[in-house]
Amino acid sequence: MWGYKRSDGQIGIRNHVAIVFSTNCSLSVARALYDRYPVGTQVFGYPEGCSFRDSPVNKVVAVAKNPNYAGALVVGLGCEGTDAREMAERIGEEGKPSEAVVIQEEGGDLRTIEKGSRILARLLQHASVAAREPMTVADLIIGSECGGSDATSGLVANPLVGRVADRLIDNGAAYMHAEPHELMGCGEVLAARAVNDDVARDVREAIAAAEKESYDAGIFHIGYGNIEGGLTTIEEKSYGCLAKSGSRPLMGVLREFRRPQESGYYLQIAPKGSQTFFGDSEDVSQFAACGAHLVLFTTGCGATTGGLLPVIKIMANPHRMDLIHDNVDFEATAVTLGKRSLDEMADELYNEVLATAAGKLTQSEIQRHYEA
Amino acid sequence: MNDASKNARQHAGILLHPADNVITLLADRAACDLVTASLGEEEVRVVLRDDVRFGHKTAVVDIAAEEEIIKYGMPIGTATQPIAAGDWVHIHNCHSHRFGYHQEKYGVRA
Repeated sequence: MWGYKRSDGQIGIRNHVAIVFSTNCSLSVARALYDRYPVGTQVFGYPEGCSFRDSPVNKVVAVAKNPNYAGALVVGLGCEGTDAREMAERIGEEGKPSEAVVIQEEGGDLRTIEKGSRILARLLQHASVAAREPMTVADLIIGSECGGSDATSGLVANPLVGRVADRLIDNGAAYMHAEPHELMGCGEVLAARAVNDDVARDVREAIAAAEKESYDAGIFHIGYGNIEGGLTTIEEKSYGCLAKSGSRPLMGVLREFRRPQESGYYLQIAPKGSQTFFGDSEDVSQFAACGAHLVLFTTGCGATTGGLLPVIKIMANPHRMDLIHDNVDFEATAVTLGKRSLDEMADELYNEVLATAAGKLTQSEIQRHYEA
Repeated sequence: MNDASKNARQHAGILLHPADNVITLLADRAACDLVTASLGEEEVRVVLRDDVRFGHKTAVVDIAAEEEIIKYGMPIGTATQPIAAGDWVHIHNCHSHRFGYHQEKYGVRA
């Protein structure tokens, strides 16, 4: 496997240039630049106006510092609460090429698009000469997500991912998942896997906080598709979701977009109010903020979303596979039908992770499912 | 935990854990069908009293009202009425009392 060596010592598996909008007012210019240079770029940002909230801005900066990005261009308006130049400086503080262009300084959209285009041309060329370095599984940080879950998620797809997680961790990778609101009642089970008392307490608190939030709001993360697909309660969904965590010890809870420093299994919890988008794709952005390279994403009902990281879409429901055929990377329906074993298919999925890290594009990338 | 692939070769249901009182169907079955599932040496057999679809659950023993429904060896909800072995177990007779459930919010088309 060959990765892209970055100036902060991290290795990336992709080589994009990030186009970051620092306010919703500069979103259209950011998109115009993305449309002009659609190859090798991704656009995301902080979609508020005059207000500045540090939590989501911190997340956006952390995402842009992900090693999959070779450089970044921040597009600002000029009178918003966020400072585009400051964002660019923070993104580039370890040497990543990072620049800003401000609409009110240039005199409107068109001049900004012109200047931004010249900057992007430089950043894209710089990305093209990025140094390559050999990397192994031990250099990987992998996220996992379940979206559009049904009964097959907990029976096949998530246990499959759990087996792959164990193998990745045993080979030195760091592995994380999130979605504490879909781990209802799992606090004690996770605390029992914690490497020490501090982590046990941390994970109990994280799950209890999610339980309280759901209970107080009366809104639980279980919906029509899950229920039609056979999931009866949020607990049933949660135990099925937990299956993707594998069986290795819980090394810690990643809060404030902390990057895992050693191999192992982690639970990722985003700070309150740090969301800039919704749903599973927002979770993918959070993994990106923690330095993750790619995401294993299971579905049963047929979630087609991707995100800023390469998403390996895994589907084990034979009745719904054809509904999203174009969006699936790994079909695990053979296990559900009793034709192949979980262990056999786990070997294949593990190899798919390696291939994706080595450069194989996922359907989410080819179809440009860069929701953020 | 029971592996779906080992089970599905012969059985239409899957029993995940010895403490479970429900099995999950890996194929659509109709009322009066015999559904079996195995876990190691143990085999369960139940005659369905309802149609139960792929991915949905049926009780393998009689379950009293307010008794816990167990899947994955863990309580996943509480029976809201007496459930007979072979009944379809889902939102109409199994609720999460710990976390509540607001059925009307999700507009479930039963």
